[in-house]
Amino acid sequence: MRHPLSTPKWTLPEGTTLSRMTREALLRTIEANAAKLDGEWSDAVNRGTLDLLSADDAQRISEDVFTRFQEIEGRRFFAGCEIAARERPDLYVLRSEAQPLEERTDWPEGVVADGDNVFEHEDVTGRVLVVREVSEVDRLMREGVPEGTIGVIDDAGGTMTAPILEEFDAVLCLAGTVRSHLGIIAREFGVPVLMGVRLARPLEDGEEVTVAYSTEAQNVDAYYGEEAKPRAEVRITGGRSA
Amino acid sequence: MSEWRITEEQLLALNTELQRADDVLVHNCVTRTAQESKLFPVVPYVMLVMIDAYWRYPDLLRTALAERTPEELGHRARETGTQLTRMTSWASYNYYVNGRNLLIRHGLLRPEDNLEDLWFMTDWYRRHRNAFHRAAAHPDALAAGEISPTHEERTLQVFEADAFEVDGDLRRAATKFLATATQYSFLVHCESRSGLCATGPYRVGDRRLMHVREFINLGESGLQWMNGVADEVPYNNLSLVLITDAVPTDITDWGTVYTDTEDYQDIVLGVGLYTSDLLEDRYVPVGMGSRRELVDTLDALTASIQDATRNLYRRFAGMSFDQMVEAGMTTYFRAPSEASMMAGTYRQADWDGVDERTRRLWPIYNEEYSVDGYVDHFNAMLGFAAAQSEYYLHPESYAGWRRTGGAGDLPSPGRVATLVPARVLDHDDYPRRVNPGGLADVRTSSDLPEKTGRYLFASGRVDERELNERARAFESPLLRSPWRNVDEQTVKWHWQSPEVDGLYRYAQERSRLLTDRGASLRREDVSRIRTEAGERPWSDVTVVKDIA
Repeated sequence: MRHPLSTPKWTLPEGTTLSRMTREALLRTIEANAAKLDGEWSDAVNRGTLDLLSADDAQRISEDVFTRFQEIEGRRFFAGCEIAARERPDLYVLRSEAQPLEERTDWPEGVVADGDNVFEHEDVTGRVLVVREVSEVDRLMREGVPEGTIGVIDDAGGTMTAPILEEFDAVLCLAGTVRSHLGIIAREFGVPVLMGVRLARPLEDGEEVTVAYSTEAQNVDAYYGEEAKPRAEVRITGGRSA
Repeated sequence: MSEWRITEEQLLALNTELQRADDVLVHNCVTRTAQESKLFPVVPYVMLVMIDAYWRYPDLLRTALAERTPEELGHRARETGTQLTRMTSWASYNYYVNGRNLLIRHGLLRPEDNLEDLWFMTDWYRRHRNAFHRAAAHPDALAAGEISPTHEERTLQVFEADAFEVDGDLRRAATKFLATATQYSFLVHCESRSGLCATGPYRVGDRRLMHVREFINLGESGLQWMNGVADEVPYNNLSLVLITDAVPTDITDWGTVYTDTEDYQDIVLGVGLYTSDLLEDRYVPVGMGSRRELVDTLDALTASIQDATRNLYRRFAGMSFDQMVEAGMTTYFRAPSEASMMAGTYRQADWDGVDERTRRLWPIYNEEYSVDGYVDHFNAMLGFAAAQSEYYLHPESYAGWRRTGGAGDLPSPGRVATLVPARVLDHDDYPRRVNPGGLADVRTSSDLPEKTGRYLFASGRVDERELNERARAFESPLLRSPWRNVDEQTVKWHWQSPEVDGLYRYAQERSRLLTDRGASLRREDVSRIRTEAGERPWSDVTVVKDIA
């Protein structure tokens, strides 16, 4: 049987190497499997779909694509969620850990970060606590978040820090935008938050920082073409606590 | 094999609906942000569940719709808070059509394959949607200008009349509940918005606006991971009525409320609280006996939800990657499950698990390919199946380019929708249904523990058998003539008729201020009734920040 979708008149290129490689490998396999089948496509497409592409085929394709991806890109796949990288460190590296620091050379004196303000609030001074893992959230659920803590979170989702978010004096989020789930929820709790924070250098637990949450809130329409408001700045105002 | 053939009229309607789904989807994809979560494998489950919906939804819904019509389900969904909200009914259709798109993209399906199923799903969605949206008759929030007018006057008058003006305690209790329940809903639904919806905003006098926040699946529902973690949450669905000063409010097709300013809590003027579900035909007041009772109720709900949040977080933290993918898929997959519940054809096993035809793609949809595929398909509209022709401009990407003042290259000519070729009017060389043998053709497996316990409704906890019995016995005068056919235009011209008056009195039965007032009420009457009760009409309530 000839595969009926092999030669469309119009296509567009995929956006990434991984997308292209995966599509090509899938289509090649399905074409080859179709060629082994008798009858019409309309008979094969439903009852014969596992003959067109089996679980073993998909497993082999995924392994082949990963091997070639590593050769081309020189790295493992990016994972967004912690459990993927924890279970399969051979396959994944956390995207949040692999992202490079912002290459900005004009940081004002004392400024170590900036970000998009979700809503206007008084400036907040507090001690940094970096929260990156589920186990850390679990510990803080049991022990409580220390008073005067500014949480540094690398996840813009609304669930990773769900049980403890309200206990922070303020939050710096290293990902997302003012429309991300974390931004929406922090706003509902009245916890001041900067989203999409860029760092001049990694922030360390216990450092005292002052965050300019009094900066005008970022324009939500800035993400699709309208003028962006100035980003709120984060300054080091004290050393690490004992 | 079915001999069903599509007509030209159906085909043109079908392709129009497919493109409309594309327009709404792309608009929402490009005007929001990243999908990733550190806790949940969001994008793999989003991609895989769409494919799963393709194999299973048509026969699941066919079974339900053999008992109840799409119009009846649409009317019921409008009258109460159920899982068949604006967002989830829209989403159900979109999961299915985008599962189809992804399978075409992979070379496993042609655009004309299983056309009877595609028409069935399209016909179900547009009929359900049109009944649900009867009051304002916009097909979606995008068409309405990113607002979500849903309810009819008789329901809105009760919300407006009965809401309590905030004092410091009520404002604090309401905003704390809102934040806690929103966060909890994201957790219950694996980082998705599947449990959140909103309607409105509605004018309630002068510059005041009212909108309604719906929270769904807060307690014991069909979600397996809720086994035993939310026993103390007393309601499965809650609806929070918020009256605000004139804060500009958008409500999108994804059920999300955006306000300008973003921190609108200080301008909340009034609050009401209700529960409802598919076994009710009207909203049921919760804690609405007095302002003090409402404060205490909200505080107690917040406390129970905080406990459930901690319990649930620990449960998710103990799950494997595969279990979390399946949990996320289940969250999305269950979007139309209340159609089965309303029809009395619900079987938990039908809505659990993953089809083997989807399961084979598990290793393909790793974390990175899922993100790349999502961006290609829904945002950039790139790839093998993306282009309708090399000349086409997508309206949303073109609008984005136009907003920049025409900066840079024209956007690529992609689209998400795969329309059905008109050659099907002359040829019949395509299969009609994905499962020629119906649900018997579906084989699923699951890595999640089975659901235990009951299902929580406003009228009590029931097991699967009791649920189906009560659903089959469910009836309401709202669903029968003459009340079923009293819409806003009927009220406008026939408000003095006994039928309309009777309907309004039924809607007012549980109201604390409007009981037995009938159909003649206008805005000034509601304001007068509030004044007579010692409560201010909303047009007289002004913003006081930091109130005691």
